[in-house]
Amino acid sequence: MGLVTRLSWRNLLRQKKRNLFLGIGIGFGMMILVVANSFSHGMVDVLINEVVSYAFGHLVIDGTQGNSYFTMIRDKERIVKIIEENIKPEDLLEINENLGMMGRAVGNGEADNVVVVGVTLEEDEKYFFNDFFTLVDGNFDDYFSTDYEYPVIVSSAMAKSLNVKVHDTIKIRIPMVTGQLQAAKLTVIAIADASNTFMNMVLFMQGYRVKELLGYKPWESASLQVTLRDPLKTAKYYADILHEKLKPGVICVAGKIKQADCLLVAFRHHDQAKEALRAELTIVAGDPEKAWAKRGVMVSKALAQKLGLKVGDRLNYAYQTKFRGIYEEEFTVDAIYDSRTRLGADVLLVNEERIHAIFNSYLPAELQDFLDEDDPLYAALATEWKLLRRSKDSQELQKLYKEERKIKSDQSRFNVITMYEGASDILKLEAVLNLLTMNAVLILFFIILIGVVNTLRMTIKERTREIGTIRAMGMQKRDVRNVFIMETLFLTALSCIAGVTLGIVAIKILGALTFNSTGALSIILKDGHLVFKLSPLSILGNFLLILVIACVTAYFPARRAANLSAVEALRHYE
Amino acid sequence: MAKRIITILIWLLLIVSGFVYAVPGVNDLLAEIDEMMDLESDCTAKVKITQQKAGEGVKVYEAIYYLRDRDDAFLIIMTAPEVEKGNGYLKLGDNFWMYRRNTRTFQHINRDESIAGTNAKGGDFENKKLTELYAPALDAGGKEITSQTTLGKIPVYQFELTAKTEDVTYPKVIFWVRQDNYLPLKTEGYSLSGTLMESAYYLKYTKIGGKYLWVQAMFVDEFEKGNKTVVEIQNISLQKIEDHVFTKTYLENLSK
Repeated sequence: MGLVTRLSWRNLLRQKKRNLFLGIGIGFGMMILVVANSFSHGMVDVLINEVVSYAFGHLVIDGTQGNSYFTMIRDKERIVKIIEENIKPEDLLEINENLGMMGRAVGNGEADNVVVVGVTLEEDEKYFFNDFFTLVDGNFDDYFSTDYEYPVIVSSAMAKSLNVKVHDTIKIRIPMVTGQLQAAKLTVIAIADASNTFMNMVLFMQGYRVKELLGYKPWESASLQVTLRDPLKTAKYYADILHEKLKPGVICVAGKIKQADCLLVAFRHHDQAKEALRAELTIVAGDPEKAWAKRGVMVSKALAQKLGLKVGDRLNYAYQTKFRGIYEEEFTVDAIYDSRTRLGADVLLVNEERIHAIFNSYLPAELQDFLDEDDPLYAALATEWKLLRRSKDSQELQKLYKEERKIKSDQSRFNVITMYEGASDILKLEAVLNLLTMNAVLILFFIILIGVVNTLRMTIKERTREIGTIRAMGMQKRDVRNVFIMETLFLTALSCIAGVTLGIVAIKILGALTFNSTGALSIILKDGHLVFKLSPLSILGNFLLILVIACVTAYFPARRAANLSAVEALRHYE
Repeated sequence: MAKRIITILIWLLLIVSGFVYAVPGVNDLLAEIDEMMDLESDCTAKVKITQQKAGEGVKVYEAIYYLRDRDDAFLIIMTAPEVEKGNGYLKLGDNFWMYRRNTRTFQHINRDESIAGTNAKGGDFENKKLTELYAPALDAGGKEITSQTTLGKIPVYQFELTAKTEDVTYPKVIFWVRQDNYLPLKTEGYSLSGTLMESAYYLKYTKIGGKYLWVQAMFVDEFEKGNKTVVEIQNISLQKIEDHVFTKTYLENLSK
């Protein structure tokens, strides 16, 4: 084997010019592959870490209500507690509210669309903005100032667009969580160059100020973003756990009608649920159609007798809310029913669509246990929220949201999403880019390898008499074949190593260039630079693939050379 | 004795004049406006929206609007500009669809979403009563904020309302209504923080089927100066509209 290697190496150096040109071709292809691969990795890294993870969080508990644009979690404390109890402290970095809303801003005679984003920071986190901005004018410290009603940080691009300077006022108009319009005057306390184009249209304000403007109550929250220490390993794991823990309870609220204790139970506005209930209760008075309708209200016979209620009567149901004291709601009795199940007790039975909007605003202090989960009637009862199924990727998530948009209900909805599902299209983008790069490079290599085959054929032709000599001296066919294959492998390996080295140099040069783009290119820039991320594993994979291709390509001409008869080869003359 | 009689007469005169010139209760005014303007029948009309935006020039949108009184279902088909022609909107019960002619697809949308990119929202085309949406605003003493004034040379009642429900764009609204027939002439919409956001001027009314309907109104954007929208309603018909009009199929056929 040592002789074969030495012969291969010697042969490689015998035809320097020819092999040099071939090597340059292979090296150039490898360089392109390294640069393209690192670019796609870098681009996805910027999109995921600079855009998606900040805009989306590693893991999101998304709460929505009806068909509102806004995310809304009515009981922030409860959901935060679930998160904190189920994610190990060492894995949990922070929980943030995703506060943001698109609005219209008017500066000094100029207007533009803006996104008002709330970032809750403590004084000791004042360097937070240095990661995303380079201060141009003003002072980031004023972000915490109470001298201004609404201090705001603006990107240079937006300041230019609105024609404002530090301490100027920007008027904004934004929709509130209620759908009503809100207006406010914001004071520019800092103008800064954004590291990413997405930041250009964002106005940053303290979270509590944005909450106040958008109309969130102190106990409410927008969707909650969870930042994890190692999202790649833990995000999906914790998302599944949180999804399980967010299972909603059945709506059964203890309250009073005319000082008499009773339970308000909500049934699902769904044909199957109503069928199940119809089998278990009998309407003894009133209009069944009205009773089972969207806003239907029924009273058990026992409760009706106790309070002297008749069909058509109005009653006031009062219950203890979690945040707003006692709340009283007026209902009109559509029907009176009798049942041998627990529903036959002192129960006010209402359609869920009659009660969701009320409970969303006036959250009951607590829900009562009413039926066991294995009770056949359990599935017929409405739950405090709807927990959406977990989605595998962005497509499934979009499909799910599209389905949900068709359902008109005031019921709150919860969803647990990781950025790998929510932004799976971006992750797929990397795979698609890599595939495109690989295809382009394979075509390049195909052309180069035609050169390899051609070179080998020429070499074999030139060395036919030499092959005849070494065969006559007793060299085995296999060794002759291996000499040619090894020669090709040496050439390919050296060229690839040179290509990788050149690729790294090219990455360094390209990464150092500054682009002052505000167009589409700026999305993938970080601080005005292209981002490249070397992936040693994929470089190694490509290197091995190219070696295999070179080996396979060299095999057939090498075998032909090995199969030459020694006598015939020695007779050969050019 | 004569002096006493004169004093009593003066008091009586003052009391009577007080009754004559007193501003009606705001709830009464709202009920009167609702009653006057509730068509109580199906309605078909051509709607023209002329929208002027600062720096963007003037855009004209035209649409045909069908309203079914029974359940407040409505259908809008855009007839201009060319890029919007054939697109439509259908509100049926809780469902609100947008139809796109290019893709021939229906998409569920929110009632807060813009109609054809104009300032009008789906919710603006719903038939709603003022008495359900607003209540009289009260001053520190618990009295309704109302007065008699003039708008131009027209004597009007001016009163302030606050939203009863969250289902309105402006939490606070000020109305100017004619004293002689209670028709609103102007309204101002304020944000929750008290900023004037929009002024609406109802320029022309028509009487149809014994009810009043404004047929020309101008909405001035007070937040972003230079933006205004003029809405004109023409070819009004109160004929009953067949149920098949309020269907996706009909909207698709109309848009062809």
